[in-house]
Amino acid sequence: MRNNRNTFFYSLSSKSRKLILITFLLVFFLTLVLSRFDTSNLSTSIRASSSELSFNLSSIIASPVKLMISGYNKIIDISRVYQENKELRELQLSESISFQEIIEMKLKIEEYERLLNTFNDNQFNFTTARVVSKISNNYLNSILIKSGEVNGLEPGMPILGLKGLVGFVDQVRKNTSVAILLSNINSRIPVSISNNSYQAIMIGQGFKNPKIVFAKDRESIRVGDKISTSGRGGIFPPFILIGQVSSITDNEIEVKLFEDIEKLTHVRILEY
Amino acid sequence: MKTQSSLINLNNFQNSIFHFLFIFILSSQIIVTNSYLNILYILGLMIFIRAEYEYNWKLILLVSFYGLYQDTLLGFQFGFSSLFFLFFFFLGQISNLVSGKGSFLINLYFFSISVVLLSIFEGFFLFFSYSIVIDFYKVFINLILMIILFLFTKRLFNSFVSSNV
Repeated sequence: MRNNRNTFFYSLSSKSRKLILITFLLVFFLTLVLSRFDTSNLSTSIRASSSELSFNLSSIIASPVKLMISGYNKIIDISRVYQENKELRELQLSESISFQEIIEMKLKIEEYERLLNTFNDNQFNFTTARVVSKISNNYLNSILIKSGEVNGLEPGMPILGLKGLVGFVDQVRKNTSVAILLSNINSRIPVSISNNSYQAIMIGQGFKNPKIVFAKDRESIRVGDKISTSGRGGIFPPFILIGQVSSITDNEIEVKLFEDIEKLTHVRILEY
Repeated sequence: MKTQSSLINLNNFQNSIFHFLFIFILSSQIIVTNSYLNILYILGLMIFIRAEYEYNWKLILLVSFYGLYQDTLLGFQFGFSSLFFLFFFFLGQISNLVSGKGSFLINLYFFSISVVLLSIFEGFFLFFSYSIVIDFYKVFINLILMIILFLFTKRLFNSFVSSNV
């Protein structure tokens, strides 16, 4: 074994050898990134088998931080409860009137649909799942949900919160799945804006609100216009509420999502 | 001739604390996010400073492994985080070689310039691949916070290992 050390590599100083090792690894990982290894089947299977383990490990290690943040959020929530309670009492009367109006409209729509002989193609079965955690960095926002292959989940299924669309299923494992959120930079959703159904694409921007691109009739879009899925491309069913236009500048149209992703505890996964 | 930095060794206890802190911060990324302070750069800073002290080849492999662990955890492309961490490791070594006796200012220049270059690269990548424009002020605040953290962490490390000299 000692004879092997009479090579050029071992004739170098310890520091040089370590620098060579770093350079070699740098080149190796650079090749891994540039060769798009992530798109291969091998990468998918490695990720599927290892991500659950790495997530569980991280959850245990980061539990003190989790505990601290949840404690802080609870204090904030309690202080909000009093104010919200006061506001809700004031709104109670008008809410009951709105509720009656909504029921009336729903009945009318059902009546019109029956008269027009249209069929309802917008009702789907769904699975409810608990949100285990939000996995995020500045741009790649996703959530881990406690539902997987055994519950019939498949990649691409739309995920809804209480108020609207949240994202879609990305990776499915046996008992858990990873869902990409609408704020993730890889999210591209065909949307319909306002009652006039202006077609566009909504893309995630990480920490910033999602934005609208490729909008037809851009000048007709106004702040406050409602945004829903368009159903184009067959990725999502149509008419699922997403949010509303929050700001319009020369360069971009930003969307404020209806759903507060930070407060999500459970989600519905549509079987679409 | 040995440099000042190569005389300083971290003992097992100090090494364990470094690795525990590193994994703790890395794991906390699934819970804590901040648009003004990129946690990835904090990990890079830790490696940059750690690379100045005596190390063996196992540390290089461990850093690569931490990178792969982060990739599976956060859904990055395989190899991205290892590349990022090793880049800071490499830079820490080069900075140490250039500065000779581990000059504080030269290390700071190397680190700041690398953060600026990476931020520019990140900005261009996001713009051309995803049509996302990064807010300049957020990049600037991140840089300032990283420099402050560098000063703080460097002093902490120095005081931490001074007992070993």
